[in-house]
Amino acid sequence: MTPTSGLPSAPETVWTVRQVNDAARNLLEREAPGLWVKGEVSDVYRARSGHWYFTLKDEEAEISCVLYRWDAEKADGSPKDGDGVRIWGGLTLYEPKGRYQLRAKRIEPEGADGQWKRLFEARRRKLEAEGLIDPDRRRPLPRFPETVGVVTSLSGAALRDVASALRRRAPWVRLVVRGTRVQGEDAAQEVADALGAMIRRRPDVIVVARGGGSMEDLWCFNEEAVARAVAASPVPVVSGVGHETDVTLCDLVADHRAPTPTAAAEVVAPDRETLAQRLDERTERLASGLAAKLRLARVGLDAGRRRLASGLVARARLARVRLNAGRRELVRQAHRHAGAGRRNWLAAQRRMLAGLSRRRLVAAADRLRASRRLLGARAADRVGQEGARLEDRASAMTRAAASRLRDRRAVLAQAAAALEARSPLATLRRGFAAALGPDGVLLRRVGDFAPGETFTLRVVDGGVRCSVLAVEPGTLELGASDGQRHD
Amino acid sequence: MGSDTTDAPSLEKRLARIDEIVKTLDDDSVGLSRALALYEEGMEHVKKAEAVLSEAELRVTELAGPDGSEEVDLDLEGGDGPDDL
Repeated sequence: MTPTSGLPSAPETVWTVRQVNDAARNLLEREAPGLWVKGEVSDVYRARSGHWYFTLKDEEAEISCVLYRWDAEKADGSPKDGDGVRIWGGLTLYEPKGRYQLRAKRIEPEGADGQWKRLFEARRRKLEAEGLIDPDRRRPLPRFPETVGVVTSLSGAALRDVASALRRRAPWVRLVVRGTRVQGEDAAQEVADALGAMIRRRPDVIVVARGGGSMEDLWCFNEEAVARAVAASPVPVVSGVGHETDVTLCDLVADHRAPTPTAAAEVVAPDRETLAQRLDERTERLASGLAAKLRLARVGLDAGRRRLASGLVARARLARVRLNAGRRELVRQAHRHAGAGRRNWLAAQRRMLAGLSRRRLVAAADRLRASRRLLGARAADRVGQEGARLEDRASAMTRAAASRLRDRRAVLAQAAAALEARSPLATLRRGFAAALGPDGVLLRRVGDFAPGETFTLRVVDGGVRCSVLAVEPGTLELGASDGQRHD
Repeated sequence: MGSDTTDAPSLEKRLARIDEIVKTLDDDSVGLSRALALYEEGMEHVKKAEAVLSEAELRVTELAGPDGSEEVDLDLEGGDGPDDL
């Protein structure tokens, strides 16, 4: 047989159909005498002859298979619809129909979930290639969520598990549920839609949950619709699907994978006791932080107060020294003005002057005390202010005190001048006289005189010894008893 | 929807603020009057957070309606029929 290529020419050899099929069969059987093929079994038909006819398929293609009765007896099993299997066999061709087929000699299960697993792997690789399974995509969960969203079946155990875990650990949390079917046809799209509704509600975190089941039961969580919805969620998602041994695509793309719904609830809810302890600890740290500040401020305040007090004491001492000096100066001046024979008068004068200066001193001291009290009160108001400010205030107040002292010295000088003007010597010079008792006491009133007693009348240039003839109370025409006439 | 959207800061925000205040209080440059104000603010957050923690009842609501925009209370205590899902 030499089939020619190129343009068809006049037929030399013409094949029958049967010859072609025969040739093809030989070709197949020679080229592929034995090989393993895996796929899912479907369209199983057992003929009355005992032979099995079925189709082996995967996602992309299918192939007709035959298992002859004699092969079936040692084939380790018969084909069943839906089984994922590995078949050992050879390729052949059924000549009457020209149908190419796999003649199975051995059938081994691919594992009950073989088909699912392959599909899972294929999808996992796809999502991985898109970067959706990258661990870096996983976001941290909120530590203390207030609203927890759950996407699950309203009637399932998963919801009850989640609720009881939250009730136990964090009952202040608000649990929002969006119900969805979690199994069967179209469940995947329903889960994805429920997740979308939950995302619009904007909880702090979302739990996608489902109780345990077979791989097929959990299958919708391996659908791309669910995986992509989870991956795209702007709200962190915790996946708690099935049992610990089940891993779904939803688990892989979620921000956190929890082995079970209960574990998912536990991971989103902080433990109440832990939180309470944390609050206690923070309360203590707040208090100790404030106490440290108070200690610091008190130290600064004490230092300021000490500086103020010592400044005031020094000023008061200085003022007293100056006042004493002023008093001595006054006394000296009085001495200068007084003659040697005017001792009695001088003594009275000195007492008067002494009284005057003492009054001024007392007044000055009072004012200083008042200032100090005022300063103290102000200082107390300044609790909490910086030491530097206190210092500023202290020096400002010291300056004010100094200027007040300067004023006081001016007043003192004026007083000295007034004293000078009122000196009895000046009065005497103007022709007035003063009566002095035996002990030099100034006799001012009628009551100071007694008939028969002697006294000295002091005039400008000496004394006149007098005796009292009679005492006449009442005002005299020419009397000098009213001081304001002299002044 | 969103029937109880309150203006109060979340528990998480309160705890973060408390931590921030504790840290600020440890800063030497903070004066006493500011420290006092911070302390009072911090204690207020602590009190509110503790009030939240003492909440005893878990509130469960369901997003109902075709697009999940209605929020209705959900009673989970009433024993549902056994369901394996």
